[in-house]
Amino acid sequence: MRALTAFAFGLLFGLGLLLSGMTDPDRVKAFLDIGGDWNPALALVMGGAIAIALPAFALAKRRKNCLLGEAIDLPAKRRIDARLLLGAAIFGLGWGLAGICPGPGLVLAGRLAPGALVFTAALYCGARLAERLGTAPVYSGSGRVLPFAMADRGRSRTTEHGYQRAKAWAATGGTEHGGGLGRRGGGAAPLPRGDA
Amino acid sequence: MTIILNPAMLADSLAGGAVIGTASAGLLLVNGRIAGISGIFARATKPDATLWQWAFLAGLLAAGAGAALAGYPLPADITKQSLPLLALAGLLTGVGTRLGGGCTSGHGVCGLARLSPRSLAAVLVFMGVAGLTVFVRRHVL
Repeated sequence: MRALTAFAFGLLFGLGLLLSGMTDPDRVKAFLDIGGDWNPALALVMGGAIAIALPAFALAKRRKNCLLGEAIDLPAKRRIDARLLLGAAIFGLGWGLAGICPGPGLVLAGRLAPGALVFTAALYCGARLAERLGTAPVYSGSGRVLPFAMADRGRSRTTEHGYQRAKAWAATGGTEHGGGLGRRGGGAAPLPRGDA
Repeated sequence: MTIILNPAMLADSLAGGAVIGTASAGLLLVNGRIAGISGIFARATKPDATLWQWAFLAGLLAAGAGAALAGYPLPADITKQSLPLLALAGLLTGVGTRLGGGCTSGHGVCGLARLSPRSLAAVLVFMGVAGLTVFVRRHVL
């Protein structure tokens, strides 16, 4: 049942992307090109989507369980940190280059467009690469830990493994090099501050 | 700078957005999950993945397949762009969305609808950098 409804919502999401124009990279780039012939239409995609999703999220915050009975899984992260901003900037670069974000990439892959298949395969490799970057403690030249090596305070399942590894590493003298856990490490030097 | 305003395009974008919002609201209230596509995609191949993630992704693929079967034309730009460029863009998108914890759907639709300051920060950064990237490629290089 869960898979059936998830399929239906995935299909609906994909049809929305097709109707909205988000699956046309040329239109996406025209939307992003404020310096040229700017086509603001795609701003309405986000506007229309948020207008519908806003009350749903307000309702979800007050309910414990979804209609199929499970607990509603809302993100626990709160902090605006360097990892978030760095990641968003890297994604922005990729999105600006091709005009394709993950959803439209998958929809276009569904019609077997070679370019979209290449994009989606690379998307998979990139995701795996980020997990490696994000889970291993990485040193910068100054002996400090790079921002994306930080263990998140509110961590998702994806980073849980990395968090455990970082914790084990910090416990074995990681703090000497600047503190693998940022503010949690006793007497650790502050990490490069990218967060507000 | 010229602003292109095409009423039919504006209407389609608004309606398409509403459909996307409905799908996100549905996945949230019925399945209890956030419709963050980069996250669902990255987690589908993890050991703890469950069927719903694959089903959602299959829905997205099916939308594309359906469009092809219905004779909906393939956007010309996807065939014009070079494959190495698309590979680079995909790689950057994969790295960036995992580090940043979301893409246009997870941060841009669900995060903003949830009134998350984290998502607002992410959206401002990725929109800004994407805009700058297009600007540099079209008007500087």
